[in-house]
Amino acid sequence: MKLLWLEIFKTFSRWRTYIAFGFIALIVILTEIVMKLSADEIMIRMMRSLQKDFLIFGNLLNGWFVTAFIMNSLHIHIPFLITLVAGDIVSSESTSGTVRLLLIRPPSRSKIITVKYLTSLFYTTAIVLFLACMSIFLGLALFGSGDLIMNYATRFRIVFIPEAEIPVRMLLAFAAAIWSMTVVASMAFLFSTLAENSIGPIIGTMAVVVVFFLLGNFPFDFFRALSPYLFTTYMIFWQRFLDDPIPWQEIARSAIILGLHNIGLFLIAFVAFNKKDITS
Amino acid sequence: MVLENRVVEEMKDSLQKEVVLRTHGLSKKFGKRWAARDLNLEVHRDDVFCFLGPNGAGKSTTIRMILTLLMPTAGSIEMFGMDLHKNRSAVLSRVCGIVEKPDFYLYLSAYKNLEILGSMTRRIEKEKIMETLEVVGLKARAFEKVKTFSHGMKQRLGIAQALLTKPELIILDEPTTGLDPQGTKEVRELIRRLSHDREMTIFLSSHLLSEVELVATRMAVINRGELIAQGSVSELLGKEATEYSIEVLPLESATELIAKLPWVKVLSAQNGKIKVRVEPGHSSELNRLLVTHHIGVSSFSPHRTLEDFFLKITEGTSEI
Amino acid sequence: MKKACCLFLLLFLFSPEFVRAQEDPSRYLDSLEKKYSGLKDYRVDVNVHFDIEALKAPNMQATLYYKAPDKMKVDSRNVFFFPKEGGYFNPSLFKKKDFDVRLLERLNYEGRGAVRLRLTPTETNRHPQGFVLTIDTERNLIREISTSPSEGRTLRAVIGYGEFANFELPAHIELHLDIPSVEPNGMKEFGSFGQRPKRITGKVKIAYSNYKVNSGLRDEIFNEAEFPKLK
Repeated sequence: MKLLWLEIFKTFSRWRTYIAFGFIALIVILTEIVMKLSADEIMIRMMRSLQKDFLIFGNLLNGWFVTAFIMNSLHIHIPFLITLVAGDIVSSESTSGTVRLLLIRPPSRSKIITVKYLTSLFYTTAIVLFLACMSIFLGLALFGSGDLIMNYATRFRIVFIPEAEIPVRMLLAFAAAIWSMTVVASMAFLFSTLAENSIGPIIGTMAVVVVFFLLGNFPFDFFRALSPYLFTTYMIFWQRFLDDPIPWQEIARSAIILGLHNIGLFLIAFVAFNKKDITS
Repeated sequence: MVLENRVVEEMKDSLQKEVVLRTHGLSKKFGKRWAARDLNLEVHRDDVFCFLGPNGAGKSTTIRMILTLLMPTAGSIEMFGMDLHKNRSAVLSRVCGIVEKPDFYLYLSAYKNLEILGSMTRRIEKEKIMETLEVVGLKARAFEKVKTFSHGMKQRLGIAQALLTKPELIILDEPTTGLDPQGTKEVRELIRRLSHDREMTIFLSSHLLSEVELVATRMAVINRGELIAQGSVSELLGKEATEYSIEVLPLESATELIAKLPWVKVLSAQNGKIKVRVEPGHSSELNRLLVTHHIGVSSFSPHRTLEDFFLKITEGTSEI
Repeated sequence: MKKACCLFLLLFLFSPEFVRAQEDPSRYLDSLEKKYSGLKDYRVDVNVHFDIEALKAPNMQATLYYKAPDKMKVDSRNVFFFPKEGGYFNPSLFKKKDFDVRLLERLNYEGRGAVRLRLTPTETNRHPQGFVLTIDTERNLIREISTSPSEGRTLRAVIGYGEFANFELPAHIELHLDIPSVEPNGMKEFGSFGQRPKRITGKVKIAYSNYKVNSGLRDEIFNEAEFPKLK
């Protein structure tokens, strides 16, 4: 535990760790201000088709809707913010030379690499939670509360979630989002273990995430057949918690697949770090 | 009382002979190249053990293996009677090291760096950290970020982190690299103090043979990954022919006499001084011969250097 | 011969078919208007149940306010979807001056005599929608309202009545929908693209209870704007 605390302290002592938090705050604030200013247009656009046949009453553009809206861009900007730290956490020790001081200490390499991994997971959790808190609290303050309408346009259905159910579903959705992002952290962590500098792991991880996302969404049969094998396909399973009924089996399957990725990536990093010769 | 003192002395001798670090057939291969091969080192307690060798000889590789930064290809390492890899935590809690230049977390203060590094071995009180910083002359800069430190200050901080946990064995890889003469002198003095005052065993590698000669009690020489000499300094240097500078009168007679002796070689003779190289064990005989042949000897000074020894054996011109 | 022709002519003129052929179908609308002429306003609790694949929503509750001829307001604590057409009872909607009325057929509806009328909006009608009404002629009640298919949407409301404050008012309406799919301008999700648009089909069941009729609702309560209107 002490080692973990020291590693977390080291990570959060660096100003670059706070880039992510600043960026998230900026994105959330800007998004919510723009949505507040364009509230009417947004709701009209979103409910255009329904408005032809239904009269719609109530506070649709509420804090929960805004939060869900922001969450939908989670897989675009959060992975990059995660790689800034997870992709640097091991390789920076080589770059700075502190690895020589670190690895001659009594704690084993296994403990050190495990603690660093847990720190990157902690950081991942922290930034997603920060996003959650900022989105929800600012959203509720600006837009108030209400029921949540989820328009799953690509599946051509609308889901209506009563206000009373939203907090628990949101909690589960964010927990799932954290779980999704830990795979990005694990990948960046692995690359960081294998590299001697941080640029490679950061760019490498982002390249993999972006390419996998694209491959999984090309509208051709070959890529559709490929998509079940890409971890990015399962990364947005948090959306299922805002569905009705909640597809628990699909969620469990996605969570397990992502978990297996985490385990595999960590194990490779674990073995590589234990066998690594420190020549720098 | 006399008996007790004698027992204490014998115990001290016994302790001094304790082997703190021992390697058996230690080897490391990178690809097809052997960086270190079949090294059998022995470091005794309270030794200031110097590890010498030309560039690329395998010194850093050996030190890194001892400090578990590199995995040996073959062989084993024992410290304090325990196998290093089987008892890593227990062993390394009694050891500290600096490999190449000491690097720290530049974004943290000196105090914080020591707190983090020290507490990875054992709990360190704040007072102890400040005390250690004072020993190395950095107390006034304790809470400044290390990125503001000069190279010499970082070196001192490196020594501070080595002292913090009161290790029994300190391993230093080129500790005076990049230091000015004043810094070099301070490190040398510190090494002496650590050995004599704090009874720490020091294992260090260095290129500065003159400095090594001043501090080392035992040493080993490595070349092309292989151990070519090991032992106490006096023992190793004593095996070599020694140069002497002798002030004599008359110079010509002395030169003529010495030239006939098979175990002496005249190197130079001028200005009333003759420089000779004498085989081991013949220096007193030379002195006696000069005197018995009525040649005035006003000084007889040995000129025996580690550098000479080192160059000879690494160039393969000396048999040990 | 002459007498026979006259008799035949008399029989023909008074035959039910001839009489019927000369009836004005808009009189059924007159009867409706007359029946509800005394209905000035009402307030009713509404419970809406959605049985639509493409719209997953729980039951929604609201209070509906109506004031003749065409004021309507819904008051709900939460988000509330309410069918535009056929969702609430507005007896003023089917005025004969607003429609050209054609009798389609006479039928038996749940054991009672009924007519099916096609209502086509006249030029003066601001409501562009055409309807097909099934009217129970014995009780002067609209039992079914269907919208004319337009833009690919068809809706059919089946109305069940109860007696409330001496008025026969809807106790439940079952609305059958077949409308085009949700347009893809909502939040996108990855992974399931390229699917063919599905139509929104299903039922909306609306239950009305706790009517308060002719309680003197003020115009002011209908002034509050609800959802931004489609421009």
